[in-house]
Amino acid sequence: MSFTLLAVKDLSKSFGRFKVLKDISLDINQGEIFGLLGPNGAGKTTLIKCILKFLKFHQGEILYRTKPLTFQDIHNNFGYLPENFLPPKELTAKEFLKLLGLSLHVSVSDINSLLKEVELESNKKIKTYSRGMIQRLGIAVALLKNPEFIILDEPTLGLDPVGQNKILTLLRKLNREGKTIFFSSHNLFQVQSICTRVGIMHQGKIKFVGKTEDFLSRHKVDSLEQAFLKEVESNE
Amino acid sequence: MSKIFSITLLNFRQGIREKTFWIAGLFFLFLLGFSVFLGELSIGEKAVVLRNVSLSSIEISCLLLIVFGLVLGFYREKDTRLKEVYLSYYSYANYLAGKLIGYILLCLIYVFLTSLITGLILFLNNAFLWKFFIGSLGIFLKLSIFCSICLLFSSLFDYPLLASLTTIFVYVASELSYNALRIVKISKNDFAKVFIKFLYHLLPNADKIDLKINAIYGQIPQIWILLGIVVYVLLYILFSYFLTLFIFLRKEH
Repeated sequence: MSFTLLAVKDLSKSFGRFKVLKDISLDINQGEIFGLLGPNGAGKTTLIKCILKFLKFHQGEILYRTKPLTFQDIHNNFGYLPENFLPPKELTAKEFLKLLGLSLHVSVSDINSLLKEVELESNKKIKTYSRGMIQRLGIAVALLKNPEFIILDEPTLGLDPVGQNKILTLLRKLNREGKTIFFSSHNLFQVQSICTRVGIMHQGKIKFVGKTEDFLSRHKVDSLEQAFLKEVESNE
Repeated sequence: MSKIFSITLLNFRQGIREKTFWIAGLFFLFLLGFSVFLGELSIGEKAVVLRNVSLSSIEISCLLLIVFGLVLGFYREKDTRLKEVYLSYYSYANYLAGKLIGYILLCLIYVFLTSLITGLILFLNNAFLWKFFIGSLGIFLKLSIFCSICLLFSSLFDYPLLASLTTIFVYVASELSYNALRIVKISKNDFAKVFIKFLYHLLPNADKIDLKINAIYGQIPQIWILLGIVVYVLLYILFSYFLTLFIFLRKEH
């Protein structure tokens, strides 16, 4: 039985006079893959940064398991991969994970199996990695503390189709293992292929939250791309 | 504590493999070569000049390591979004403490290695004194304060150049503040006297921490003076750390 793991209620955020997020409300259920869709500048990354408490919001609240979200919740239960993430390039993947996991008492065998899971060679310096390998390392970093909730900001950005497919397969596998995944993207095909539910964001507002099929039937079209374009056009 | 240790090691290991660390080392070797040359020119004072200039070489090159290596590393972490990943693991207080200790550790290793090389050069030129290492200790303690000041300015400003320049400015100001204090003592302007006195106490008191003169002339300072310096440095670092944390908590990331 799934329940609401994270709830964002009436959240607003401004940069100076410019209101970036306008009364955002959405629920993320335990065990689902939730896709946050929106064009560039819609406010997806800002929303993620508010959830992670990197940005202060002016109005609204965020609940985790029905209680106000704390830093402790984030440090213990949230895994995070930011957009365009670049780890320390002079270290090897194994070294980086080992040092990062020092406070979590993660064993070397755990790190080896994690690296195996994301299909990475452990003893090569990060500076020799391709973009796809760095993204997979980023996912390993997000998984290191074995979080129940994973936030990924544009995890497939800048990857070739093979790299994108590897990431999506990995996300499906993690979801089957019981992880709740929240990811932002503007790649509609990916969202349609793996998400349980989607949130459509445009100009700082949430336009729709629900199942992909419901969104398609709302616009009476077959593909998410058409539905998304209709939604965006109707708001401009 | 293990969280601070984790971030310390991450910063230290990355820092020691950065090009800046080795470029600072090369610059030190160049300055050391120059100090040997100056020593040859200073007839009768060779040993003193060699010890003086080589200690200054350690200090200047390590300051450059702090100003460029550490500041740029801090901003790179921000640009590559690595800081956000760390902040999803550690509290702000742990993150800053780990970074600061990592920087100080890097500084310690740098001063240690450069002091060993300098010791060898002094030995080959018959200018070596064990008491020379007291000067290295003074440099390390002084530059530890500048590590904390560098972290403070990196947290305060959005531009690395500004953080680097202000760190250099504070270094120069702290080196000159004692002279300014002496000059202003003969002034009749009370406001200038109070203002310079305030600045002198606010800035790190480089004149009190500096043990170069002792090292050059082979004197060992009294133990209570050494202890006083260590306590002063620790208090100053703590003061800077809490100020940095105060700024960091108020900023958005």
